[in-house]
Amino acid sequence: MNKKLITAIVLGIVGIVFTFTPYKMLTRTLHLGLGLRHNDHIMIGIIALTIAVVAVYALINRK
Amino acid sequence: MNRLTDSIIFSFIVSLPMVMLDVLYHLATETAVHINYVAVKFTIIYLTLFLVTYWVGKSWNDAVFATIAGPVLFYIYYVFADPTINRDVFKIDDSFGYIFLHIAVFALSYAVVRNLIDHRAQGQRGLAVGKAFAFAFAVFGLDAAYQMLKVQLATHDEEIVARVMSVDTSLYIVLSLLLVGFLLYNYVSNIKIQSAALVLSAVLLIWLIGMHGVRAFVGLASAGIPVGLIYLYTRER
Repeated sequence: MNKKLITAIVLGIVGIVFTFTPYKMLTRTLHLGLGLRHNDHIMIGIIALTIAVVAVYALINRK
Repeated sequence: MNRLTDSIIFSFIVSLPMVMLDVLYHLATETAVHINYVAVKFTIIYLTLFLVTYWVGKSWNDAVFATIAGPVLFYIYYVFADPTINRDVFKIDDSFGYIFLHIAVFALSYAVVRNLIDHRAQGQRGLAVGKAFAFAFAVFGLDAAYQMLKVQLATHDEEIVARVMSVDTSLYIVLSLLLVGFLLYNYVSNIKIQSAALVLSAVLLIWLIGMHGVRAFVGLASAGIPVGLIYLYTRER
């Protein structure tokens, strides 16, 4: 399986979870808070989303 | 130069001028230059551009994708992150319309570096303009980072940090660096003399305009890093 496809799927899920999940749900229900502040979660999420989005673009533009 | 190094340097000399063009606009329109948001903006823009350049390339389509994806991802950060500065006191660039400003400055920076430095579309003089652009805004960016970080570490008060930079001083620095950069890149052909003159003149300008000795001393690094990177990037082209 293509590495970029795996990267896009895994980091896409991580990015969506960390960026769009409300803070309380992330920390209390999902236990994925890692002891970090809300803005740190968003930053992790956005970095993961950035990599995932570019990985999808790279997959589309495969030469 | 291998693809990884090329992508790292290209992304740096495009994204730092992009962020600093944006900073100049914010200073001119009295929108807060908030160190957290500038850092996040640089990180996202740099990462997007680096990955696109490294994984795909630098074609027209790649440029359009990177210049749109970066600012949109940054806007998502703005929407979901908690405010870290008092919005009643400071106006910041968090509204939807600023996406277009970010795209415009990103596209401008990308176009200058790609056309004038990579393709040398306007010949030797155009190359000097491109290098001067990358040099001036990169030095301005690293100098601004030093100023804001110094105050941030000393005070831990982001509202004081947001008031550190001023539009007139910034414009003096940028315009004088652009002029000096163009003259040295265009008329001095010896690389060692050119590099030394660029660094020393940047240090002198920071000292004269900023009136601060330590800041001018740090300018050795603020100017040395861009000069070295631009030299590495253009050496084999």
